[in-house]
Amino acid sequence: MTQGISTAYSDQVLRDAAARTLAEAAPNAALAQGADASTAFAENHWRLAAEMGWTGIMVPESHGGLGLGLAETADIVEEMGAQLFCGPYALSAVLLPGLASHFGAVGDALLRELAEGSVRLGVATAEPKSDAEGRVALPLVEHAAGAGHILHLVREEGGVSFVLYRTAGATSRALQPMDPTCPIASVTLAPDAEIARVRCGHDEAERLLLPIHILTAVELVGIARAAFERAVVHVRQRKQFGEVIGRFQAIKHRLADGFTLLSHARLAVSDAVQRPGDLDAAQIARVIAADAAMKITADCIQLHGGMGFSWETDAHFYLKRARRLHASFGGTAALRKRAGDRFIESLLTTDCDRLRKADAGREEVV
Amino acid sequence: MNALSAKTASSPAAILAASTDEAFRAGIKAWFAQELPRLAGDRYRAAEMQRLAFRREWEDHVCRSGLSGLGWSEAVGGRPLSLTRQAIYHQEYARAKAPLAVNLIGHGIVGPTLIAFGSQEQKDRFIPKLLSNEEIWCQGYSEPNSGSDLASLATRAERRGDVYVLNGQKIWTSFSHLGDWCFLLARTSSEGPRQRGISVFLVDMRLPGIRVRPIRQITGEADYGEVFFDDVEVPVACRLGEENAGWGIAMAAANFERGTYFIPRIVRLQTELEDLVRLAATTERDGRPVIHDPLVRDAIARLFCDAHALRLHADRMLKQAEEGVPPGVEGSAVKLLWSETHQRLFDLAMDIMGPAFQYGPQEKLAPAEGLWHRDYLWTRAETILAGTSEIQRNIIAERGLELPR
Ligand SMILES: Cc1cc2nc3c(=O)[nH]c(=O)nc-3n(C[C@H](O)[C@H](O)[C@H](O)COP(=O)(O)OP(=O)(O)OC[C@H]3O[C@@H](n4cnc5c(N)ncnc54)[C@H](O)[C@@H]3O)c2cc1C
Repeated sequence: MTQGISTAYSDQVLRDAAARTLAEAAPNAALAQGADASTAFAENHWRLAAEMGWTGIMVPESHGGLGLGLAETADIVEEMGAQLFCGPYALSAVLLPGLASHFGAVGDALLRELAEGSVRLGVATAEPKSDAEGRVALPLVEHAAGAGHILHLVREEGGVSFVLYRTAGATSRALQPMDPTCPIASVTLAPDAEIARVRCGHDEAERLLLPIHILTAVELVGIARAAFERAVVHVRQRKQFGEVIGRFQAIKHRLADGFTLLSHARLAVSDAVQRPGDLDAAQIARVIAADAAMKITADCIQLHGGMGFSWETDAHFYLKRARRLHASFGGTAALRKRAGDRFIESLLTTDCDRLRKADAGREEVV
Repeated sequence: MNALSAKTASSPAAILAASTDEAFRAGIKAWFAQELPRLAGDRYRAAEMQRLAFRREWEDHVCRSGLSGLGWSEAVGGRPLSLTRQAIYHQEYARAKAPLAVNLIGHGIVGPTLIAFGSQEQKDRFIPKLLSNEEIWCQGYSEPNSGSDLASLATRAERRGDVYVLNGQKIWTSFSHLGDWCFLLARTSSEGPRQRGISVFLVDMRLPGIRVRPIRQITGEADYGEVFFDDVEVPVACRLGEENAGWGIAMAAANFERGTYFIPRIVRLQTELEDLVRLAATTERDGRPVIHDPLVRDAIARLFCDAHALRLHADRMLKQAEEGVPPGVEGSAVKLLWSETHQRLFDLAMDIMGPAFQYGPQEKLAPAEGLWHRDYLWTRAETILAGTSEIQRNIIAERGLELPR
């Protein structure tokens, strides 16, 4: 089936190797049997990423990394999405190298450890509280299991602060996650946990977050692709009314819509990967990929019928993972709003300029 | 700047020969900017320029100035032009708000198909009059009982000596009342598979026995119609390709639509979206410009994202065409996205207008003289013509995903 062939963003060999390695380590069957990702996979998967050299993929060679670019990383991340890799890969391997230069000496050390695979970054996604003893309590941390550091983005008047905590001395309580491929916890930090903090304006923050938006989009495409393939395979073999259900037009049309969404998402995402500095390309790619993944993963459950609703069928993992990424780093709706606002403002501003010129008595306005 | 430095645009021949794509773009842009207002005179308003008479006048002017047959070989009198430049041409055409072509079928489908399948005699006869836009073409495929299931068509062509005798009926034929010639599919055999009994004919619409009845459309215009054939004698020389080989030619002709139909429309959608933002910025509701309404902004943002995807698809179609890669089922995905996005765009325009949406498309009081209203209604056709949305989904599922028929 043509859908199964994934064209690499950078290098087909790297892509195929990642696909093979990750497929062997895929957690689907174990998670479907009720395994807990935080105990069963968080360590194994991270070790695998370190062994493959993936954690240091964007770390400069001077710091022991591979010094490769976003396209190579994207090849790995798409397969991680498709194979439900359990770990904060894009967050650590991509966001951290971008932030490191702002973190001074701390950043330098982190990069080296990242290349060795010994840094793993959790991310705090809910507002922190201070407890009675003045310790910072993070009510919701993604990828907390095994994370040595936690990143928190504080959105403030006029900008964003990136705050880095270390987890040594923290007390952590695992919580039940919506997405079983991503362990979560509430964490109360030790008093001296903050090791770096950098404040930047909205534009700079937006720029620092671009790669993570692009890779979130890439991962969403991986998830959507896997769910889509699963659905197509299923409807070709399941029979009802004496027919393979794939013969029913309602099913064909649902899948044709999935195909259409996936093909838009792929195009938008590879465009964003090729033009990593372009704000519109990155944000729109994430919006399109999230829309595709949300629809396709839900349809995958629908097309499996009763078994689609069972924990033992792995269809729900795709939906849950897509749902999490859809909401990550401000969420899809906010990105769409920003892209739309930029478009509207830029258009109305140039119009004003043109009208001013027209008033000066020359240019004709149709 | 003063009057002395006012530039005159270069000649079309010089523009086509530009050494770089950028120079080509600048040249063609300047040409449209100069010629459109000049030809339109006091009709230089968007609504006025969409009227059929002006559309024809403008198309004649463009063709006779030497801007027809773009991308066709010199051997047939065409003007070779890279696909990239053809796309630039369409972009600037849309940005200049130049009116849509009337002889779309002629230039977009008949020309390329004749070049590929026509005899020398046929090329010599028809191509020059296409280049000069002297002959308008229509396309006779659909029949009352054969629409989506085109291969079931029943209009018969019986060979009698050196003519074929044509009997039957076509319907929904765009510009049938203006057409000088019709690119027609008819049944020449009822044996074997249905697809193998169809031939293509180039039919002079003035032949005795042809009757055209325009049909009013939901926009109020009557741009399509039905065509009746009653013992019409078509010379054998007007058969395109071999007898019973018409289906393959029709399929190849459909591929030509990819470049000539979709790419210009995708490009146009971008400028329509920009106009929509301007409409929202200049329309007030409850004392405030509608553009401040968060729901309107969200709808615009969604359209902006879809327009972005469409642009990428257009670039890719172009690249694939340049590399000679045959179009796959992605063409169907693009048609779905384009037609449905276009419908949402005009739906939103109606929302933005508030009560003014109630004016009919021919009502002068309507904003932009009813252009939004007209196109809002017109977008309903786009999920029907050139293969309905349902048929596109069947194609994706059966050819792309290989699900059983
Ligand atoms: C503005 C306009 C201009 C046109 N211009 C031309 C022209 O110039 N020349 C020409 O030849 N034709 C022209 N057409 C006709 C057009 O090609 C046909 O309308 C189209 O192919 C659909 O055929 P139909 O109208 O018979 O609808 P039908 O085929 O009867 O379809 C009716 C409905 O049934 C659905 N349907 C049909 N088959 C299936 C299936 N297998 N699975 C699921 N759903 C199905 C369709 O999607 C549609 O919703 C034009 C149409 C329009 C609207």
